Amino acid sequence: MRQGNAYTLIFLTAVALIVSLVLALAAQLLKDRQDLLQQADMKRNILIAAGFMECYADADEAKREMDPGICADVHLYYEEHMRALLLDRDGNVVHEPETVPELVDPAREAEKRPEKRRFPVFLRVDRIGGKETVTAYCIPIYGKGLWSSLYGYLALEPDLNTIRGLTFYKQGETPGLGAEIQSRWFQDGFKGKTILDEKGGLVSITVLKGKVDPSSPLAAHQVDGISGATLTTKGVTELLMKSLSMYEPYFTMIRRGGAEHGRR
Amino acid sequence: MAVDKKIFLAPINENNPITTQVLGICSALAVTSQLKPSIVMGLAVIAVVAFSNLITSFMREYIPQKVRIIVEMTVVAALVILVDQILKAYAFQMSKQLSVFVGLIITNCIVLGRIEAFSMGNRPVPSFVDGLGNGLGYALILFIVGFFRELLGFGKILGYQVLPESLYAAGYENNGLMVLAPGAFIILSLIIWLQRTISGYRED
Repeated sequence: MRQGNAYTLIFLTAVALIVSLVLALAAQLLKDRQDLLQQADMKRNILIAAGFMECYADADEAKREMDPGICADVHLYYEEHMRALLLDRDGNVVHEPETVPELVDPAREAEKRPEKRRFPVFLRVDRIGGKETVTAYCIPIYGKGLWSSLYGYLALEPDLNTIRGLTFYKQGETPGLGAEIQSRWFQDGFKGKTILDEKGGLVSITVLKGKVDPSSPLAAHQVDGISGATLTTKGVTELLMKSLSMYEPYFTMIRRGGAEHGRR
Repeated sequence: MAVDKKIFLAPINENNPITTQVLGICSALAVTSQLKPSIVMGLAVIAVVAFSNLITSFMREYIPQKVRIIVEMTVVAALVILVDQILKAYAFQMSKQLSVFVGLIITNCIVLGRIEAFSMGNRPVPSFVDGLGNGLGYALILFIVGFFRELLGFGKILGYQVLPESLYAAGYENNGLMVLAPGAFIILSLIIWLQRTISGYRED
């Protein structure tokens, strides 16, 4: 007699227990490696956006897979060339040793009260003539695509107008369509585009449906779209505007030449 | 104990889960726009179907009838999470590209279909073989569809350019339709047509 309620309950409890044990064990065992890959992936994306490590930026997935050696390289390189800052919503640098800028999740920040939000900036610092000079400003970009939240980085040249690079490191869009925002040809399209109009107002970048007409006066603020991924690219346009306007107070301050970068 | 060869071979051709039983179409359309995700997805499904068949077959005499499906789904879900975790740890970029579709293997009708139709009434070894065969049948179709979609849609195979530049210079263009879901439908139905012409199979 295996149909009694007691037997059923005990059986289900046992199954649930075993399954949760196995999964907990697997998650625990794989966690270190997953974290390593995920953080390396994030740092690598910051580096790529800032114009480093072109060799790893290839859209070819086969060449993108990272072994632990490359991960260690990425961490080293990152420590050497990037400085991270935390800003409040007015663009002032805040010192909060307990917050790691790399781990700030833009989605969580958006849920906090505006005055509590923190905005990380990653500065590419190069030695030019023996002096440390900021050569790129990299900010996280975040917003909704068609199915999923899109996470990425956008790097600006020191003029804070020209785009140096852009990456997406986390997305759940349709493979081959929306997921193409991760491909190199799409991201390369952003390089050299400008986010400000002649008067210095923020216009951001628009992803078109189709190709950019080079003769159009707006061509400097537009990039080619992805066929079959109109809604994803619409999300990209919106999130760029949103993310850039969050950093406008800070950028305006630097453009005026005022703010010193309280380096970490 | 000898296992009937047919258990393994039938689902690869004449009883293919996709082309004959028309199961698992959703993911066959979703991940096949390029070859590499198709292959990884195929491997993931082979692993999940084979092992869920094996495990449920071991448990088949102890599972209470009333909660049969719940227990089966628990086993499948656990395996899918395991596959997802392993992909995240060892093929991070690929897991990002496949995104939700690995998790959605749990709703792939092939998996539950094989458990219900086969492993609940058969011994573990034949069940495992049946799972392998069905997974392979699924993976094979994904492979073919992925191959042609990437070739015609991007001119590439596994990310490497295979169509020569001279062809593009002569006016050839990549077929954008192949990148979209309808491209998968068209290729899939051509495969089904070809297969049924050869085998003479007819829907009753």
